[in-house]
Amino acid sequence: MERVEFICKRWRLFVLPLVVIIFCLLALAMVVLPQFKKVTDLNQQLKIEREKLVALGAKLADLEGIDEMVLGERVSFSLSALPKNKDVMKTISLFNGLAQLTQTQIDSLEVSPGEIATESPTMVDPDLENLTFRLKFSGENSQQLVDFLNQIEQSLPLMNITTFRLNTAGDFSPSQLTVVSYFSSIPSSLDTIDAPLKKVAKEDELILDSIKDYKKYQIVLMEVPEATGTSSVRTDPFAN
Amino acid sequence: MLKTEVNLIPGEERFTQDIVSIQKRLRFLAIFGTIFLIGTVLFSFSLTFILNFQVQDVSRQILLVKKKIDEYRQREGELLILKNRSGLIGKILKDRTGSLMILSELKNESPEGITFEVVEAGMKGELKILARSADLFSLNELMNRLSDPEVSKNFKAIEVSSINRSSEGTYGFLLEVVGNGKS
Repeated sequence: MERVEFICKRWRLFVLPLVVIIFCLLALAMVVLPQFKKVTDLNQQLKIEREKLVALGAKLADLEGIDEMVLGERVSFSLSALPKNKDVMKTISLFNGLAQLTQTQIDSLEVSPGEIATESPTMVDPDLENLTFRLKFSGENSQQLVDFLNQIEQSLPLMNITTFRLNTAGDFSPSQLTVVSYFSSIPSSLDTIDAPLKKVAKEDELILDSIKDYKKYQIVLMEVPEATGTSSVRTDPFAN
Repeated sequence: MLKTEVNLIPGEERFTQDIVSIQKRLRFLAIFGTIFLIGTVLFSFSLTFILNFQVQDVSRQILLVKKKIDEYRQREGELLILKNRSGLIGKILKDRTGSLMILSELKNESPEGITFEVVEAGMKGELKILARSADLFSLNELMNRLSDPEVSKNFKAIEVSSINRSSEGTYGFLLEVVGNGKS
């Protein structure tokens, strides 16, 4: 009993330190620990941001190092090799030009142009689209015929000969060939600024070098003769 | 020898000393805890402040670099077009049957007396040639050349068939060739 009285008289000397200790523990749990977690998160965020800065710096250096004129020429060349739009008339004119060059004669030509070229402003079409031409042609000797085929495959825009039949026998039946010409719309939307730079790889350079000697002929569009008649202006036969 | 402890202090006095000792320990813990708490709070908050500052600095630099990159968007667009085009051009070139190359090679290997009258090429690079030889010697020479491993390695199959003699003494034959693959 005396001992209990003794403890009760000196209660402040127990309670105060106990309260302080409990407060410190609570403050550690509720303030300090979350703050250290925040520090860890900030460290992580700083690491990520620094890596991002390095990557963007490298991208900027690559872009600054590109020769704009050379790039423009390469792009122009690649577009001449693979145009973005169908142009049936230009292709037919090219065949005529090549026939003249190799002293062959085009007897007939078939083509199915399909839908006239349209370009969706947002869609990137990575697939190739094509036009198929079927030609009948003739020449004085087999070398002229073969030259005609070679010129087709070595000129721009790119075309592939899928089948052919060369006839130099005495029956005078014309030679035939099936040619595919290609086109594809260009990518119209860029990646975000953060995205890594799509560099031109060595394989891409080799591909473009393999066709650098291909010829792009000056295409003279075929002239359509004017229709003969009494007047060039048509009158409405149903007009009063 | 066994050690024995003898406490000469009376019971009440001993109790009082124990209580005082506990009080001293509690006081020490409280003071230590307070100092420790203040120290960790100061440390954690200053670290947070420094890191925040660094993060903001790096973010500012990123914005500047992005602004510079934005000035080169056209160049980036052209690179994208170039990459797109070269990929598709590669696809077109890979798709070639190679028939013209095979024909050119056959013409190179053909001796003078051989004429190709009709040449037909299919979509898989196969060639069917109706040819005529001026004499058996030229035909024999052609077959020898085509049998040469250096020449035949470029073809998957070579077949000469339907040899027939015309009234003029020339020999017509069918030459069928399959290339090694698309060019």
